[in-house]
Amino acid sequence: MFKGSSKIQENRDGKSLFFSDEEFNTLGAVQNCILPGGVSSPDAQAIGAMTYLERFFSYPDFKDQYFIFIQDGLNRLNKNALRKKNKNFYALDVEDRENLLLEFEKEGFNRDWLMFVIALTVEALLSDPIYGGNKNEMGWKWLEYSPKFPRPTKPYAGSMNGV
Amino acid sequence: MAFDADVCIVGSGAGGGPVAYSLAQAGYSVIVLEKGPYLSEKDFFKDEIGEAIRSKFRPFSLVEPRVIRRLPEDEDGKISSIESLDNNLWNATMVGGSTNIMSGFFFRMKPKDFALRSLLGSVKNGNVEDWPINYQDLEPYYSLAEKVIGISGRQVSHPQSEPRSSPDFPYPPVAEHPLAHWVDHTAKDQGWYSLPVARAILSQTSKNRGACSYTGMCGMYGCTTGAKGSSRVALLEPAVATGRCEIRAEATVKKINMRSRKIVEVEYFDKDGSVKFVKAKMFVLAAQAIETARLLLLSASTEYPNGLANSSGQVGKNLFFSVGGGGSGQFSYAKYSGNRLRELRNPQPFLNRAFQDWYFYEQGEKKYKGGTLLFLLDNPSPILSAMSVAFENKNSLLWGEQLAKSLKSKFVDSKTINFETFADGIPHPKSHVTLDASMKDRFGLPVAKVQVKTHKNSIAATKFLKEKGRSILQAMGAENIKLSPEISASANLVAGTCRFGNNPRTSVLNADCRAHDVDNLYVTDGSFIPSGGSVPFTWTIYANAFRVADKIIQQLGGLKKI
Repeated sequence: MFKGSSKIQENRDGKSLFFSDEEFNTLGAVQNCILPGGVSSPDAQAIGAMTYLERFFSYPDFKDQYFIFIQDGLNRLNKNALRKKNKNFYALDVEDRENLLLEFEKEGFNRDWLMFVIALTVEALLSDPIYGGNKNEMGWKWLEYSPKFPRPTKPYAGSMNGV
Repeated sequence: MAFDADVCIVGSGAGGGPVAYSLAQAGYSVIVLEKGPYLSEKDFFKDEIGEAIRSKFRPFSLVEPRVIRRLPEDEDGKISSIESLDNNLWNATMVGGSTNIMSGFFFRMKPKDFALRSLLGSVKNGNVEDWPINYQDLEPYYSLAEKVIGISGRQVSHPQSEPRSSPDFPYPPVAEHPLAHWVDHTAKDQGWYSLPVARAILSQTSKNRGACSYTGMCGMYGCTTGAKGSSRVALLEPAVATGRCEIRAEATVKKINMRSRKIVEVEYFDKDGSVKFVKAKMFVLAAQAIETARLLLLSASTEYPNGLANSSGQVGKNLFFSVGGGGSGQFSYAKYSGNRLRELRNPQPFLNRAFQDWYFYEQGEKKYKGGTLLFLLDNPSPILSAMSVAFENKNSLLWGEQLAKSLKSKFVDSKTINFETFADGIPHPKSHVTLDASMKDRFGLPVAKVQVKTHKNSIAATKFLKEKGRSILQAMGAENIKLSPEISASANLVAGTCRFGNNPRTSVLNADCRAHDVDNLYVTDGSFIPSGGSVPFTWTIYANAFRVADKIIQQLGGLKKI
């Protein structure tokens, strides 16, 4: 069995524990494209999408499996931005960011990557706040979802360690 | 020879539990080996991330690998519309097995399902055989399972009703959402039969088990009240309470050892990786269809060079899965008012309705096997619901404002009604379990290599049923109706690989599910099934395991004086 750690590390001072500043900013910008927020809907930053992701990667089982996949996609996306728009992805206006993501969506491998980032953002929106997202149960309140009991008392950290 | 127990059972799910229960009740000593951990109500939570999204009760592919090869379903091998729910076909691994995380929609097979070959004739590339027993042989045990497992429901008469030895279920049905009555009214108008669905869920407290708490989080989740009739809570815990059953969790069986055409012991790795043995008079395999076949193949010896109990060469063959598809429709709250709106907004999670009007159907002169349509509400797992919205169209993902709008529409402004279809998985000669030549597990043993080929008739039946589902939703006035792709091989309902039959040349087990080749070996998981009916077959596995337990008790000398 792989050993998972249930110890939670936090990203401090807006710095990522795992990503470079450039990757961190790119990821934040992608999450905001996925969940931009509106009149009644919360945005990715407000729900804690980045905190959710950092906690996800603080568990070795998940980091081993998925970190490089996420990191490589961020770098491919930012390279596209630099090549086509001569700017980092996160420095582009919203329309240009969306257009680059739409192009990404058309390519099989990049679509898999985008699907995974969407999945993790949806998880951040609607998971139990014990996992670091869904701040103040904002996602549940928005979609009028009532949590069921018993709720988890600790986050699942990989393999059977979370049991 | 000194025995550790009268009977040793490998695997503790729907196949193992009834044998442990019956043998312990009959006065015999039993040891159950289970490779997963012992988890119970206190270990279960409504934790969507852990239990549903990351499937924490299923082995990780990296830790317990398998080699899975999926062949496209069409004969020229070009197109596959089949989607897979999971990539390694493992289901829950813990004491009580997959029954801990089942939804518990329980159906009996129909008398005609036991003689499909005689009824419909042979099928090209489909190895369909009649069962060596009939419905009446199994009926007393379906009935016994209702009482012991705790199956709740309501019997109604309809053209596809199975004969019953008792007039009704021992437990009243669990509470239903008002939409169930909408389904009933639609069926009546259209001349169809809307059938209440039995659940392996207690509607009232019984036998030290709590009643259902109506979270609706049944499938994929462990039950936190004990209402769900898992093998652990309904069978193993009462067996242990007799003082004659011992459960050894985290015990992975390595090999079954023979001497003079009899099994003498099983060899297993304990939690720490040390090799241990259990010596018994009788052995029962119930490790689920894939692992049971693997273990028999791993237990090859000089006497059985092709694998234990495999003189027929049939171990691992005739693998099949319940083939399913589905669909959904929505009722927009804005279009309803008054009582109808109040009914729609009711938070009750269970719909529990099914249609079996098309269990068989005719096209032209020919009669075909159709199946069951099960109607249900969303499992209240918001992340999975949201992902179904975001990923509905793989070529055009939903994100941004469009995603927010669609999520609000699904969660806040409407009620979704879903259906699932169950068609016979016809065993295809290209579907089988073998040992992989190179990949090994953490103990150095060859892993299962599973090749899946779904029969085109199973896909055709599923497409046919999905269209019927669409008609029902349309007749109900649902909007935004969508059909989902066929799912040919999910880990939930796996069978075949050690088929039972009267001919030792073409089957692994005899009619009592005892190996043709070995007098003290039985198999009681879904492996024995030649054809599983157009229903989920968990109740059938439970019932058959109770039946086989009686055969084992007979072989051991009958009820023991305690």
